[in-house]
Amino acid sequence: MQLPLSWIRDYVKPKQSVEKLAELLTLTGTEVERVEKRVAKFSGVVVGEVQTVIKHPAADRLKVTKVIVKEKQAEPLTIVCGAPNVRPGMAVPVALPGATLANGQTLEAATIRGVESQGMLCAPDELGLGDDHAGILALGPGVKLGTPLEQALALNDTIIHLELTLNRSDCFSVQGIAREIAAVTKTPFKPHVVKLTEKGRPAKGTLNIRIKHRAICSRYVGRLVRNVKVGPSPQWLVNRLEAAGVRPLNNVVDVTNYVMLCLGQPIHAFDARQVKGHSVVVRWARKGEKLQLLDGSTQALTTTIPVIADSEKPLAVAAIMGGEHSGVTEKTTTVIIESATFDPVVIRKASQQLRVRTEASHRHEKEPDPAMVEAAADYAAQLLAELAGGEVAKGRIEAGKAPPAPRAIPFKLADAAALLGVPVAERRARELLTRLGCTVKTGKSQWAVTPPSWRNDLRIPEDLTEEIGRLTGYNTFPKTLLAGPRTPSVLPSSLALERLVRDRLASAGFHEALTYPWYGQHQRAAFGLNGPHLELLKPLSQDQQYLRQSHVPRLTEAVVKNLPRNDELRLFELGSIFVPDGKVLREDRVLAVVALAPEAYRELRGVLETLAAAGGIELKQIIGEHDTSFLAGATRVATITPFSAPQARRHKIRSKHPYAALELSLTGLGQHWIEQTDFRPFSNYPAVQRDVAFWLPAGTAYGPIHEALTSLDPLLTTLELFDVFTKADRRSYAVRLTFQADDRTLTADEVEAVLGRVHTILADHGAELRL
Amino acid sequence: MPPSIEQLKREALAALAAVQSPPALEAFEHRYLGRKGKISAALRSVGQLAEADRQRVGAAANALRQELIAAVEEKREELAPDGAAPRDDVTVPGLPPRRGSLHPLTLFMRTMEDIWRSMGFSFHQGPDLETDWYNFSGLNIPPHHPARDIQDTFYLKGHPKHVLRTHISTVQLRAAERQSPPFRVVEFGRVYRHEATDASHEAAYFECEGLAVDRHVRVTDLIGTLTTFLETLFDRKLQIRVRPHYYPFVEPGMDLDMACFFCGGQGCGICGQAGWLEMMGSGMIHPKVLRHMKLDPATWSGFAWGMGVDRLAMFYYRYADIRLAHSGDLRFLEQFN
Ligand SMILES: [Zn+2]
Repeated sequence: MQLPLSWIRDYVKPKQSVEKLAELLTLTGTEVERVEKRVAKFSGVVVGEVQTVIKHPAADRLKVTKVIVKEKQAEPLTIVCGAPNVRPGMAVPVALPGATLANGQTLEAATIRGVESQGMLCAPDELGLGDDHAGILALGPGVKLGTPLEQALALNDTIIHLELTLNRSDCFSVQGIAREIAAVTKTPFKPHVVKLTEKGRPAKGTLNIRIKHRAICSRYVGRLVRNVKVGPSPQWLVNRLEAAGVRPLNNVVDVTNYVMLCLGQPIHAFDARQVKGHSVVVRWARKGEKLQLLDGSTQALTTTIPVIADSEKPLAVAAIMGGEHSGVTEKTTTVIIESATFDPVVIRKASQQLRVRTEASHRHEKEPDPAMVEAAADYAAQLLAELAGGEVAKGRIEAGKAPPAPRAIPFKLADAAALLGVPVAERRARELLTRLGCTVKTGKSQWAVTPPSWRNDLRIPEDLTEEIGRLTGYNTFPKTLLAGPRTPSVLPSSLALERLVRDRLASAGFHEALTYPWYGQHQRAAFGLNGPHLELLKPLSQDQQYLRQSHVPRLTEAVVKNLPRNDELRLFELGSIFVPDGKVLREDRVLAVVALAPEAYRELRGVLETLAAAGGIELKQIIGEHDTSFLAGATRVATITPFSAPQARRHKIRSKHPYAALELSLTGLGQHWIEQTDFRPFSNYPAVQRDVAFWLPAGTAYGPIHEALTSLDPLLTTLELFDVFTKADRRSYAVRLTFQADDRTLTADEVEAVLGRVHTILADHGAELRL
Repeated sequence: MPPSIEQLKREALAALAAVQSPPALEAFEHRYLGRKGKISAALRSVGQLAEADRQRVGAAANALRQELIAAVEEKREELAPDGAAPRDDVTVPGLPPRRGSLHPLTLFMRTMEDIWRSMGFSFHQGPDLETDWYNFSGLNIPPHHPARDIQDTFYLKGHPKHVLRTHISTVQLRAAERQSPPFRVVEFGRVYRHEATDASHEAAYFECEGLAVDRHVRVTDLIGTLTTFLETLFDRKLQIRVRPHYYPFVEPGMDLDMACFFCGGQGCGICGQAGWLEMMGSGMIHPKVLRHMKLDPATWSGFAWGMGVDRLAMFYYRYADIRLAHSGDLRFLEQFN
């Protein structure tokens, strides 16, 4: 919200500079986003009135005007002008000789096509008021001739831009901010006083108001204003609305906006002619009812939409927006002013259902001060009388009951001091709460504090504690540390495992990446992710529609992105995947590792095997059509997908290296993980190494040989495949075997005996020894 | 040792003793240890022996091979003229070891984790998919509370009771289910906001939230703890200010600001001319929330705070586009390790 300081100063006159004031407001919880100081970009321009307009004798497009810049000026100024909108009686900005315009140009008297022009009528752009150059700026009524224009337009004002919090409904108005300023600066607040003169027949009898459905509205107040002349608003009102960021329209609509901004209570104006049966009813809409709103849209109403209706049809969606039909037009003469207290939740639901939010609806959602209902209706009536020549009918028409006065909050000063951590003097607490408008009834150990009608956010003792805290200033508080006992901080096992996994991968040359947790149909199809996915109701875009079940699609995109600068790539990501499991929504922590490297598959398998070994987990391999999975116990915990060259190319990976991806469920791994903390003794006797190399026909798997050798003999402690190459239709494997005993030095015979059995196994598997 | 091998050994050792020059040594290696050398020939011929002899002879040949290799190395040393070998070029640059990297946000979160641990906070990990209760209602944001507006929630098709958590304040209720006070808990995790992304806005980002519950926890503890945390994190005295703010789940609620690093408080584009950067939201846990934790507000009080990790990391590492974290670009990922 933005408000001009000059308006606020109607109600409070703080001594502080605006900067200091902004800081004080911010530090007490009313955040000032910025202070905008407006300065006129011109000088020497005054308010004038056009008397006559005639055609220029020597130029078709030009006009010669007579303009006065003071009352009863004997010799009007002659000014040549080319604007199409200039006409007699118009109030206009007149730049006199010597004036400086927005572009820095200094004006001098000049002869234009033989006519001497004693000044210039200005368009908005020439004054630096926007870029409109279509015509002369038309000033509103009520401006004194000769007034410097910057004064008439209140241009040298300061606008305060506020970032308000939801709970402080009272601050969404000039009066509310003024009251807050008064409280934080200890300056007197001057409440708004309505001065209303009533005239003519009483409103009661002319109009009936009925609240049919109490759930919508607790209190409805109407005023009737007759003989209204709809027209432009006076300049001062236009200035204030514009400074508050509201576009002026006509005097009636402007008055409703002005009163809302001023007092915080939304106001609506109906054209009385369009209200059938002299009756205004607050009720739920009926099925099938339709209403064209002021914004031009037509809404099909349902029984959950609250409306203001006449005897026949809806006139407005209550508290949200008026109907086009009953709106104020130039022909309107009698106006019905509505000021009411609506149920915030009803309004909020309706606003969401219709997808219509207005300044009025968002104020009603926050429950504006119910005590302002009458004052706002009266003030609007007063302004219509003053600015639109209206006659205010005697009396208000009222329905419903004012909500009960706020209840007293039991308050213990000792509790407040304990929560804040600073001592709070009794007198000071009382003074602060009183300053905010609370009524304080002190007692021995407990006070009764009644908040003012406008502070519906004050409900529990802690709310009052906050008021004392914020007005005292948190920045004056000492800083302390928690006094209580401390227990040792231990990472939960799931987080410890994630830390271990990340560290191992990073130290093994893999780079951690982070990708978005969603993808679209395209990625699902490309990576064969065909299972049911969780789908977002309103995704940010089509390719962010599904919650991921794999990190690989996005990691692959990262690989492609980095490819121009890298020959080999190794990336990993650790994060959640989301799987609908019937009604249960499963969330797994998953590690994905991708490698684009000469031995991509073996690297990933190595990562998997060493991780599993670290947790004492034995993996069992299952070979699928396109990938291979690994079981821990009976649970599938990992999958490795080696991409074929054409597949990789389809994913836009152009490289001489193979591409592969590992996906490992840490949730699954964690369930089988056994922390390896016991010492494992090692042998102090020498180890003997032997290399064996052999051929296998292409297409014969090496895995079974490896498995058979691994469990062959306790003396054969490790075997390492260290060289593989293909030649014609055979593939060569070289394996280094290490023999060692725990309790003795092995003899050559012992080693040879095992080696002999190795040869037998090789022969059984169709291997041909290489020498 | 079988006689054939014994003989081979004698012959080889004699030949080696006669070697006087590096070329001669090379010739010796070729003759005895080469692929077609005498030892290999001996090993090959093992196949023709009787089954009983094979292993014995093979082992002896293998042993002899090892022995000769060692002897050759010794001879090589002997023959090398002292200091005559050209010195290695020590001016060449080093060969970097292959190393990977942890994501800058991971590193940053670990830095923060370490500080919280040192201050006695333990860790919690909750789900990203949350129910309405943990994300909203339990935190004093009932249905149709205006505060639900500013949360820009992601909802799921067909699962109306779930949301992607919009903040990690969910830890307040979840942590209390696992332990009884006094406790100090922190959670780091991802949160989701339905928001168009740009240089300073993300739709999926990380938050860190924590809480401390005990008898007599005070606002001054909150201010002191969070100030200590920030000063430890940035490793210097900081200008910090506390500003009252509204969050439905705390009372009183407040924001912590730090004087802008970039302009020193003068006002710049990064701080929106304010001179201050908002670091975190915080407050004393609302009595309603305490009751939802099954704690009696008359006995227990606590404070909670939350902060955006990605945003804070931008200040910490001094980069200007929040989306870099999700860019997958190695030039970013490798930095800071
Ligand atoms: Zn700055």
